[in-house]
This record gives sequence, C-alpha cells and structure tokens, in this order.
Amino acid sequence: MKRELIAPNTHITVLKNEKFKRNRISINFIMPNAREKATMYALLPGILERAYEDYPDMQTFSRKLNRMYAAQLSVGNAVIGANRCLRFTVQGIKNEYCINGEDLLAELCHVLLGVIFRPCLEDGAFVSDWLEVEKFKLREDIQGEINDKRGYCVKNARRKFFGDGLNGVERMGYLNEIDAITPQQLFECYKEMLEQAVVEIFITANNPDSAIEKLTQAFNTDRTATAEILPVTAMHVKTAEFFSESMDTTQGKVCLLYTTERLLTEDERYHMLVASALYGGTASSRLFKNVREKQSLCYYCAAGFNGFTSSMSVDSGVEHHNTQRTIDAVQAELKNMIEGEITDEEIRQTKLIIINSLKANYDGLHGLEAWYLNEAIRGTSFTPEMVMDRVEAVTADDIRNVLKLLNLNVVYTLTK
Amino acid sequence: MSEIRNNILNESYQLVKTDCGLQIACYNMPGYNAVHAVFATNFGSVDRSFIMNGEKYDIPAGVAHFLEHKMFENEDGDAFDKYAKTGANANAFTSFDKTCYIFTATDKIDESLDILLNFVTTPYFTPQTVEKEQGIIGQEIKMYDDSANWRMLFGVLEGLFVNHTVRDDIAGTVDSIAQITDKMLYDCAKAFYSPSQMLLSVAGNITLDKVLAACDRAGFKYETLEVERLRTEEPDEINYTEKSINMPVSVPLIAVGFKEKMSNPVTIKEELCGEIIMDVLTGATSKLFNKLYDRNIVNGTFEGEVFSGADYYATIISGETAYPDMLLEEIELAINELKAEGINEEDFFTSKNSMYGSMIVDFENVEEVATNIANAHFKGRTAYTALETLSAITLEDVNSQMQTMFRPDKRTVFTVMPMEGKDD
Repeated sequence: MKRELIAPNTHITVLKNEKFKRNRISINFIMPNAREKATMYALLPGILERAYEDYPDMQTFSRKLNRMYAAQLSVGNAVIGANRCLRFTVQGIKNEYCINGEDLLAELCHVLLGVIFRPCLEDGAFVSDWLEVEKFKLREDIQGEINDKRGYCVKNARRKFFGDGLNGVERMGYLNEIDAITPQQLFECYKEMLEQAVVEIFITANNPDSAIEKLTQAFNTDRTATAEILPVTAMHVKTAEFFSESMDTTQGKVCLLYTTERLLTEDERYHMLVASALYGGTASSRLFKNVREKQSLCYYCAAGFNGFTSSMSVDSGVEHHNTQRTIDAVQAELKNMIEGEITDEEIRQTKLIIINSLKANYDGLHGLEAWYLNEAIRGTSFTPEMVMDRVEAVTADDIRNVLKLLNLNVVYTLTK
Repeated sequence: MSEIRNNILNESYQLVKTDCGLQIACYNMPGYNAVHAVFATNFGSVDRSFIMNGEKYDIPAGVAHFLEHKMFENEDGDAFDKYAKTGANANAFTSFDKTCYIFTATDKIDESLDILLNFVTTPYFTPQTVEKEQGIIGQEIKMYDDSANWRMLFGVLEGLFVNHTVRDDIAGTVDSIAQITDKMLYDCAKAFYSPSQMLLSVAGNITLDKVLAACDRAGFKYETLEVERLRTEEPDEINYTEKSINMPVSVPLIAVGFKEKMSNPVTIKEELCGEIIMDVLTGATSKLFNKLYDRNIVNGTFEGEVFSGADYYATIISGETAYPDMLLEEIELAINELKAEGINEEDFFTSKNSMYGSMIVDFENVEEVATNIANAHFKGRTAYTALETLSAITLEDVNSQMQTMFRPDKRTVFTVMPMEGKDD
C-alpha cells in the first residue's frame, strides 16, 4: 500500500493487485454532512451515473459499459458519522482478459474522470428533465423504506436516537425538500463539492502507472479543498425512551440503541470491537446463543458497534407477543457480561473470528480500499495486522469496562 | 483425478472421486488468505418424493431446509460452537435444488474441515429438538411472509406451475413443517447425505492433498444406496393467469412470468440464450428500460431474469411501479416488437461481451468459485462450461430460441398492492 499527497487535501492510495480478475478505481469526495444539502447529495448519484459528455444519454452510456466487458460504474452516497462521502467507482476486467487486446484500464480511468468532470449540462446546469426523473425516484425510495421492515425499524430508532444532531442527517435527504431543488442549485452544490471536498483516490490495479499519472493530473489543479473531516461525536446519555409503532406485519421488530457516555480512547475502540462481537456480532455470540437459540425468542438478534457515532445497535425480529421479553433478554445479556463471568474460551473464539475477518480484507477487490478509507476518515493509518495485534491483547476486564460505558437511549418497536 | 482447465483464465482445478464415493473439487487460488468450503448435496426444496432401496417416501414442503437447520446440532453439541473454536465463519443455505454447508476461514483449516465433514454426515434428531426448531423456522417463515419481493416470487411461481414443487416456498409453511418428524429427517439424511451423494468444493489458499487428508480423517465408508427422485408430471398449462395481494408496501410490485418450454434437462445453451434475450429485452441498455425509467414507470428495481433448474424454466420480469397496467402493456409491446424484428447484431454482441466480462469476474473470489463449482457440478457441468459455451452461441441461436418464448397463454401476472386506505 502506498498513500501519497498529490494536491491539498487530496491523496492517492495505490493497492497491489496481482490476484483479482478486475482492476478498480474509486474517487471519494468527503465533506461535513450539511443538513441543508442532504437532499441534493442524495439526488447527485442518479444524475451523474446516467451519462456524461462522451455518452450523453443513459442507453448509450450503458451500451458503452457493456461493451467494456460489463464494466461497472457507480456513484455512491454514504454517511460516515457526521460526514458525507460521494464515491465514484469504476471496475472492469484486467487487460489480459480482453478479447481484442484493449487497454481497458485506460478506458476505465477516462470514463470515470469524464463522469466526474464532464457531466451533461443544459444552460450551465444539470439537465432539468433528468432531475425531474431522479426526484421521482428519490421520492419513491424515501416512501419505500417501509417495504423493508427490519431496515425501517432501525432507521426510525436512529431518528429518535440522533434527533437533529449531525450524525442523524438523513442519507436519502428529506421528502419535503425534493420539489424545490432546481438544476442550478444542484449543479452549484456539485461544483462546491468538487472544489472543496477532501478527496481520497484509490487504485487497485496491476500496471497502474499510466492511470496514476492521469488521476494525478486531473486533481493537480488549484482546487482549494478547504473542507474538513468532522471528528466522531457521541450522543449524550439520557433516560431510555420507548417508542412503539403499530404495523400489520407477521413478525414484529425491535431495535435498541446505546450510546457510550464519552468518546472511546484508541485502546477502547479495539476493546469494543471484541466486546460487541462477543455480545452480538457472531453466530456464537451471547445474543445468538442465549436469546435466539436457548430462549427461542426471535429469528435474528444481532449487535453492531458504529465507531463513527460511538453507538451500538441491537436489532431483532420477534413474535409480536415476545417483544418485551426480547427487550428484557437483550438488556439482561449485557448486564451478565458486565457483571458475570466472561470465559477465556469465549474471548479466544471471538478474537479468532475477528482476526479471520481482518485477514479476509485482503481477499476482496474493495476490501483494503474500504479499510484504508475508514482509516483516512478517522485520521489514523493502521493496517489490518496492527489491529490484529491490538485485538489479541484485549482482556475480559477490558471488555467489561468498555461495555460499562454503554447506556440505552432508545428502544423502537414495530408491533401489531 | 481429473484436471479441469480453462485457457482464457489460464487456470485449472482438480476433481476427484474418492473410494467412499465423495467427489472433491479443489480450486487453488494463489495469493488469497482465505479458504471457502462448500459441502453440498443435491437435495433441495423441489425434492418431495423419492424411492430409497425400494421404498417410497413423500415429504412435506420445507424438509430440505429444516434438515439444514437441524444438521448443525449433534449429540456432542452444536456445530457453531465447534466452529467458534477455529474462528471460521460458517453458515448453510438451502435452494430449490441443493443444500450447502459452508465456511470461510483463514486459519485452522484442517480443524474446520473436520468439523464440516463430521457434523453434516452425523444426523442427530429427537422429537424435542424437532419441536423446538419448528418454532425457530416458523419465525423465519414469518419474516419472509413480510417480504413483498419474496411473496411476489412465489406468487408468480405458483401461477406458472400446476404441480411442480418449485412453486412452494423453500422453507415450507408453518403447517407443512408441523408435519416433520425426527424419523422423516433421518430418512432424508440417509437418502441424500451419504458421502456418495455429496460434493466437497473448496477454493482459495488450499491444496488437494490437504482436502484428501481431511476426507481420510473423516473415515467415510462407501454405502450401497439406491435413491430415485420422483417428480409429478408438470403440464404445459399454467395454474392461473393473474392474482393480486395487498401488503404494507409504498408502491405496487408486479411480476410477469412466462412458462417456457425447453429440453429436459434444461441445457446450458438454453440458459445462456435466455439470459441474452432477457438482457436485450429488459437490461440497462434496452429500449424498454430506458423508456420506462424516464417516464417514471419503473425504477432501479426493474429486472428480467431466467429462472431455471433441471426440469423447469421460466422468464420473469418484475419491479416496483405505480402503474402496473401501463407497465404490463409496455412489456407486452416490447416482447412483440422484439419477436417481430429479432435481436440485431449490435445488441447481441454488446450483451455477449457483457456476459463474458461477468463470467470472468465469477473467478475472482473464493466464495463464488467454490459455490459455482457446486452449482455446475450437480448439473453435470464444470465451473468453466458457461464460459466455454458462451463463445459458441450465435445470433441465430438466440433469435431462434426467442421465437419459442413468451407465449401469451403461458403468462402469469402477480401484483402486490399497497393496503387499502394506508401506505398509499
């Protein structure tokens, strides 16, 4: 891995690629997740993905990508803690697999930079008809969140948990703001992102030199790049609030959200990695074994810790009449871990699972890219191996102490 | 042992039939940390009737999936607990035509292989454990009952197939699994889980010697067993032409299915030609998708797929739409137009190029490689058969197959509408 500063607030990271069948480039624009721009950020991927100057409509551009052996171009919209990340990605098979000897990596790079810097415009703004289509899709997406009951329950719990805080800015924006957005406003928002965002470029390729040169040239401009990545903030501790929504479903849903009463130290982050996995992150975790298997209270019951918001969520699918019993059981398991015994064997097993998954980062085309992007946003530069060492050192007391920092703020249920 | 090779990828894997009848496929992938193992039997949800050593067995919907859950429990404990000692990430899944027990691991591979080979071939069921599992799987079934997409898939399959068991939910129903007994599970395990019925497919940082050694340690013996799968005759007719249900969804979902008449067993060429046709008709480059997307009739959920197994073949076009009638009309028009004009050379080559690229990518990660070998194996194919067959497919093949497809009287339309009075 080689990470280099190529312009203000702009890094390129080169990852070796001997074994994968594809090459991949991703360009991440990161900025604070401004509430007033959330809906515009959510509209941008659809507008940008569909075409650019060289292939100026959706059908022509799709054909081009298919002729490039099913090359995949996507624009992603992610929320990472209090930050927004627009990710432009392209991936396609390596040159040696191309039937007609094409330099596909060069084409991938050209297309990706085209989508970013040469979008289709009309009167100096985004194409208004396209914007209307994307507004319709966004409305459908927001209204359609109810279709996935598990996700819907978690999202509503998060809304209650984060309230109006920066960590709670909606990834998909806000329904009541969609209509008013104009092509000019959206284009201004986009230009501002190009000008100010922190940029992290990743290239996972064999023979990447010419692509690196093109990418470096493209970003070696007078961009001010004044955006700052916002640090992790934790929600304040409060007395747990209970919310219940009535819905005619076959299975009920439960989501519990906990906050840490203060930010975790660097060491505690790794204590929490082990603690949350042991609590509810694996098929041999306490929640899986005791709440699902022994007590048969639910079909799934999983916990996950989000280091960017210092919060832990537990979500579960339950028989409606078991809702309260499940909530009680989830809390009892946490209490048992804090006050009761945690065996060496449990810890050893959990560490093995975590170390396996850390090693597996090397086996996926975007595994290391995702890893180092998170590191860059956190402002650290740990390798998976360095984290393995930290994980190995975690003790039962470390686990108990870090779990003590958790406070239940919100419980959200979907019941009949 | 046979070495199966592909010149495009410049790669190969080994396939071995051991003395106990177990088949082993080993795909060594240099540079990878992990190993993915798939221990598979071709016993899936469609298998509901069979003759074993002269005796006939009929089983209710959901047994293959139920068995998959119960296999994890042995007399000496739960397989997940054993895997926890090796750090492997283990799971299992049941599809229409097979059941697969899987793990991915970067360390303690020998130990994980021992666990896998042992628990999958050591059935242990009691009336009490069966009863408990009925509760857990009942929850799983209820979870799927709340999924509009899942209900839509089985709604369209039930419309297309009169007798074929592919129309029944893989997990069965709360009522069908209530009929399952420990004896029934032992019978099915005997019929479909003896090593001679199974394939162990491994890919990643592993060698054949290591896998063979694990099989030796398992001490499998060859069992003489005669098992014949029985299928009820499926007529060419469909079950119903349309049906609609209401669920708490924001926009309607629609699936348009066609029962297609193909060879029995379905050939790889018929599958690939079907995929090219569906791509040209409904894919991102199609006239239909682009027109409907820009008129807000469909969104990114719109898709067309070939749904096929050894003795069933359907094409299904589905997606969310606020205008189900209009979408249906447009699909019909697009099919008629494509059938009248035929697929042109440019669209054919664009689609074929795209499929070629996607097939190369199938060999990029350990999970997909081991799984693809298992998928291909039970159909009598190798992991490379699709890639090799694709290059030989011509425009004439595709156009001639298309003329037999999309018969108007073999069409089912299934819609999921929002609940009346809410969620609109």
